[in-house]
Amino acid sequence: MVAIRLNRAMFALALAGLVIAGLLWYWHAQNVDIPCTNAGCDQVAQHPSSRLFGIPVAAYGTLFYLSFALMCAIRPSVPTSHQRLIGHLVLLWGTTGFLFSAYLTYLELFVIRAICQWCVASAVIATALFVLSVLAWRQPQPLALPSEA
Amino acid sequence: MKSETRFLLIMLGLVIMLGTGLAALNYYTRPPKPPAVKQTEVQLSDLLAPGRPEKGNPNANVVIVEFTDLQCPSCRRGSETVEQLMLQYEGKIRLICRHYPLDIHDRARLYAQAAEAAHRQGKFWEMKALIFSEQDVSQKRLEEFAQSLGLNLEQFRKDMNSPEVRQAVEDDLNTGRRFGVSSTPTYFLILGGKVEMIIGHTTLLTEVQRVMEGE
Repeated sequence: MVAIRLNRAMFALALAGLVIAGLLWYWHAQNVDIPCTNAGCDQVAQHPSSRLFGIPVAAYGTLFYLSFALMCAIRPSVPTSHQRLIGHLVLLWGTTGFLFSAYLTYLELFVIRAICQWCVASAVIATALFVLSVLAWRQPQPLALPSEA
Repeated sequence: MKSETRFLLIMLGLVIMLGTGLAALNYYTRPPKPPAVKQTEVQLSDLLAPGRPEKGNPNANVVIVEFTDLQCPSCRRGSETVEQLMLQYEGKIRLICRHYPLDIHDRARLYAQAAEAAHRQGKFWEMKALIFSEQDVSQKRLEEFAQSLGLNLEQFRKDMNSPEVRQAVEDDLNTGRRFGVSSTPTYFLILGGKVEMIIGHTTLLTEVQRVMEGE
């Protein structure tokens, strides 16, 4: 039961991250002033490092959260024999998201020198996803509902 | 497929559909943008007031009157564009700055007053540049800026909150309102007797370049 709860928590967080990253991508594409309590969001959005290979960082974020949510969604249906593999993938994805978020936060603090609350919210979610993915990975039992186990 | 997966996929689908739907609604119901360049009946004399900060060639044929909000990110980019134009066409432009602090920016008036107080000690443009360089600054930071510019700090503090400085900002705001300014940055580009109201700095850039290259 712990495993399924962890999976649901990760799914819910990934959905929240998806909404934030999706909104930022939309605002970035529309080139509008991002709703923000300070001038930080716009400073971050206008900085060259808000794009990677010409694509807004928010687009990568959207894909990251979408794929994370999809993994969590299909995980309960994966045969028990393959549960471990999905667990590894979720951990790998959680770690990647966390490290990338940490790098982006570093850029905000020390390169752009501005803070965007939306980015901070995303970084908090990515960190929580990482912690939960580690906890889920450490779960010995396969992920399945009691009625379906 | 197990019921858990089905439920989670439905939730994901709903969020994606809702998000895409709202984005589409927002995109298609946006109010039409006002024309970026508008001929106006305004005269240069309407936009001038004694003692407003200005720089460049006072006798230049091309005059830019900038209405700016020092807490507005677009105005920061606008200021960079105007500075670029002043360098590119040195001696050919007269620039006048007027305040238009928007209500949505809680510190815009404070920043305008700080710039005005610096103006009284001859450092308006320097203070404006410093505020724009950080844009999210406290009263203490404004005083640090004043110190770094070599201003008399006591006088700066006194001026910042003086009724005269507040009135100067208010007068700028009222002038802007009277002549149709509603967003920032808004520029009035004066070419001889012709006055254009320009919204946004990218339009200003192309418009000034067009005028200068056409000369």
